[in-house]
Amino acid sequence: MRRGSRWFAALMISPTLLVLVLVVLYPLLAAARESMYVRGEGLDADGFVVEGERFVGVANYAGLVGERFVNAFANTTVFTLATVAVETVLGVAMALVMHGVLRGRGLVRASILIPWAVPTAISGLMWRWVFQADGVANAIIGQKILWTTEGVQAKLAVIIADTWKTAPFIGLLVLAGLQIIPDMVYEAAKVDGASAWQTFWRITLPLVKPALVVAVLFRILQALAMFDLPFVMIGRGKFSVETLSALIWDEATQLRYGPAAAYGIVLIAYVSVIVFVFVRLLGADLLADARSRKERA
Amino acid sequence: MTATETPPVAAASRAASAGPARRLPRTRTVVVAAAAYLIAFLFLFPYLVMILTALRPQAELREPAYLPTDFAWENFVNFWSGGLSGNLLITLQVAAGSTILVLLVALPAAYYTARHRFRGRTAFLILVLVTQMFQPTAMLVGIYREFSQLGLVDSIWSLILVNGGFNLAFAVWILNAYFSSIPRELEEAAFIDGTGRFGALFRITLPLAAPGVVTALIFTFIAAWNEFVVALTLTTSPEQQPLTVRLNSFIGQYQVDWQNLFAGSVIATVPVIILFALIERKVVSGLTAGSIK
Repeated sequence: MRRGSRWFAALMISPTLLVLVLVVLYPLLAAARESMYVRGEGLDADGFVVEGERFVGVANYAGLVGERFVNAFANTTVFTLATVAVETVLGVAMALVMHGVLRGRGLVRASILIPWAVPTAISGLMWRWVFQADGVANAIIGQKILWTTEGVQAKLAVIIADTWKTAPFIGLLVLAGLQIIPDMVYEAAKVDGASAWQTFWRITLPLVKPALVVAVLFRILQALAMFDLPFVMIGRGKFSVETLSALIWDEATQLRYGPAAAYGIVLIAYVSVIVFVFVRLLGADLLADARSRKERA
Repeated sequence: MTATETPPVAAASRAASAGPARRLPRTRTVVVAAAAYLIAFLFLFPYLVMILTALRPQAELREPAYLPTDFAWENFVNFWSGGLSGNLLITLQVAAGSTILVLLVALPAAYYTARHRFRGRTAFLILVLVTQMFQPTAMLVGIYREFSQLGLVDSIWSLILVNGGFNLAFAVWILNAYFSSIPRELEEAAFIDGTGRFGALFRITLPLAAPGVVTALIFTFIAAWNEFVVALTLTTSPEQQPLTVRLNSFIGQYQVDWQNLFAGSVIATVPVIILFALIERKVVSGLTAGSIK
């Protein structure tokens, strides 16, 4: 490569790298460091008051075996599994229905997409209103359920609200996948006497799998970091809906930076493991693009 | 395999929508359409409730799910006079600032990686993609630490930087895909015709990539507009908070003025819905680019 063009490359690429260093890399390293320190006043082993930072090693990670962390970890996992599973099934069903609509598909598509575009912190407010003791949800089912108090019903309310927000997202990505399946394939299946059920499992699903895998991976990433909905709908510090992100935020606002940073590092590790397993198992070929271009180059 | 599939997706969707029409029996078509409209209604229903509540006089607040007898437009006026217009301005500045930042930073990187082969190019693209995996909440402490050291707590600049940074990955990837799909020969032809390197870029390539650029920008704008947890952490004074955070601060132990709160929510929602309607198709093809062959 010529010398001049190398400079030019650096000029074009470095702003992106600079922003990523400022916003992602530095906070990541700062959090990793913070997770091994304690700040503020404290007593040392001899009973003297010490100020400032002290290195404590993995002491901040001791909370990992505590009840609160285990609960938040379990909530995050349950929310992720439940919402992504329900949203995938509903999303595929919605995509199939939308694919069959001939007139007004644009309208249907636009209306189910609204929930996805709306700020989650705002839809959380709306759902809080819907799930009030004398709210719309209880009026419709004719029950008196205290949705926003501690308990399973609070979890359920969050899952319903999250599903409502993101099932359409999966639906749209699957619809895009459905639309590029040639009619010929279906005609061939029909000639061979395949039932609708067989056609779905043997043809439709395998052919939309690439689109579905990407959609589900995006969703898992978001669900593992869930914060807005439980926080706004049910409230802060509510045990039964406290996610890892909520725990991190709460610890940080209580000035317990060390544990908050430690939980953050654990969340990143958790997300990385899940993504790795997911990509390995389902073969999401996210990097096919980069790779194929490299081969051509 | 790049975003060249954008046009084919659109073409195929046209073909497919004509396809099943001829083969499906009529009753089934009607049933499917009815199901689709029902689903659409179910997804819109909570919003209807919200908009109706925003228009309800306070006296009628305890009668859910019916039409208000008279529309209380003053709820929207209350929003303005209650000082929330300042928070709307903060939201606008943060969203616009993040969008401009992404445009300035992502465009050169995406263009260069699409047009040139250089060492570390794939590594760069993968690095950008990996940052998508790190969510702001996980490193909240690091983010807070950094911006308090920089003296940027309670400042729109920190929110612009964070929102821009966390939306860079998507912008770089979708723009890279768009630029790659534009034949290099077009640019070279213009260059030979004497437009110069930059003339070719501005007169040929950028106009052709405009749909991708617009998509990436609107996507960033919406994401920054909707962001909650970082703003919640980095802003402390009410007048510096974006709308999402400020509206939520009205939920407390005391009685909530739902009708005013929802008037504010409608105002916070309408702009993103309009923007989203403009790019909805492109976001879908952008997200699936690289997965659908």
